Parts: sequence; C-alpha cells; structure tokens
Amino acid sequence: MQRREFLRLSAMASSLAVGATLVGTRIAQAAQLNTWPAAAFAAESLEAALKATVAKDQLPPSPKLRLRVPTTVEDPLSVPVSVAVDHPMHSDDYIEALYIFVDHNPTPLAAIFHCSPANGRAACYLRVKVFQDSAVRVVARSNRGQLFASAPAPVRVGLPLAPLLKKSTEKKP
Amino acid sequence: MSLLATTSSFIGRREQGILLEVPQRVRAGEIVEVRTLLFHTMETAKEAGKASFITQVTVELDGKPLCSFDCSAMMSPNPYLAFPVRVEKNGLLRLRWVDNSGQTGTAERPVTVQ
Repeated sequence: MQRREFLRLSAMASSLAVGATLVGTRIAQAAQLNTWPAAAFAAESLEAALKATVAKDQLPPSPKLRLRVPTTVEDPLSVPVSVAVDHPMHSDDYIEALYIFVDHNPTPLAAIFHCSPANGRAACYLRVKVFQDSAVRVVARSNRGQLFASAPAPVRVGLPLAPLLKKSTEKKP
Repeated sequence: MSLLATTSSFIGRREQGILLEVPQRVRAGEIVEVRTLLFHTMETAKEAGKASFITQVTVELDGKPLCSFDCSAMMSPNPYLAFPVRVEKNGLLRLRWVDNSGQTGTAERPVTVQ
C-alpha cells in the first residue's frame, strides 16, 4: 500500500515537473521573440533613440570602435556599414550589443546586433537606408554595462530620397 | 523606388527567402565570417502605405543562441548581414527571421571542421 502511494505521488510529481518545464520553455521562447524594442525604434530624434537604448543622450567617442562607412553613396537605399570593436570576448567580459544609428533618418535607430562570446569577435556588417546627408554612428555595450561610442561618420547622399522625406522636412523650422 | 520594391518582392518569391553562406575548410578555433542575404522588401509606411520589415533575425549554433539582429524599416531592402562565428567543432548553424506581420523564414547550414 505504501509503495503504491509512493508510486502514485512520484508519477504526479514528475508529470508536474514536465508540465512546468514545458511552460517554462514556452515563456522563454515568447520572451525571446518579444524583446524587439518598439519604443527605441519609434524614437524620432537621435537623442531620444540614444535615451531609449543606452539611457544617455550624449557619449564621448571611443578609439575602441572601428566604423567603416562610405563618405559618398550613390544608392541611399543601400549604404554598407561595417563595425568592429577592440574588446575581448571572454565569458565574463564581452560586448553584448551594438546599436547602429543614422542621425537624420526619420527614425535614427536602424538596427541592434546582439552578440555573445561564441561570436569570437564583436563585429558585424549590414546595410542601411540613409534618407539624406547624415552621420552614421554606433554605440557598443558590454555585459558589464560599459558604453563605447564611435565618432559620427558623415555620409553624403548622391540622390536623396526627396519625395519620401517631404513630411519629415516640413516638421523642421 | 517602386521598381526596386517590386523587383525585390519578385526575387523574394522566387528564392524562398534566404541565402546563407558558411565558409568551407574551417580549422577548429578559427573565427569565420558568415554572410546572409534575406529577401524582403523592408518597406516603411511612407514608402508602401503599410510598413513591412523584418523585426528579428536570430542565429543559433547547435541549438544554442549565438547572436541576433533587431531590425527596423531603416534597413536596406533585401538585407545583407555578416557576422563572425568562432568555430570549435562540427555543428549546425540555423538562421531564422520574423517580420512585423509574423511571417518567418528559416535556413540551415552545417559547419564542418577540417
């Protein structure tokens, strides 16, 4: 009788445990999908975008960041941005995020790259739209909360996307 | 502009969404560059009337999260992304994107060490 009771209880416990882990992973997956920072991407000025991502509105440039952007572009829809950070990628000290901004775009925050020590290096390459002559800048955040900013890299646009910009230029005085 | 958008959506339908390039001949411990081209129009609300863009690209190596991109409509149409990966042993690299309307795309490539 005692043995039967024990079996019944252990079966209950294990099914509960399985249920809990299932629910746990579901929550984890949902959390991973829902981390897209809508407020930061909706910010319409560089200061607001910086505040929403790294909680600062100005950062001194650091020599640790190497940012490569063309100075003049023909195709404003596709401007290559290449970033690398001179920072170790150890399991206890690594760069966890790179924020890419285009100062004068309707929404300055273009992308966020989340990296991990498994990447080996803190670097990425991507292409962004640059709607008018503007600077591109990158801010890196380490897992210890240190912030490194690049110097703004100016980009001149050969053929501006004028019709698309009508509304945003009208706002300015 | 509209021509570009229609061309890219045409390519998107034709190519099923992703090109993923993992270097061959990798030595253990080497840091390699993985490149990917996602076929997506990446339109803002002003360009197309309705915003349509990839919001997240996640990369896993052997089922473990490696890195991810949070994207906005300020990324180029048909985003081209590259990132480093430290390769220690044979594995499977999986890339998945989600856009703002909930559509997804997945690609997988094996990583083999010599």
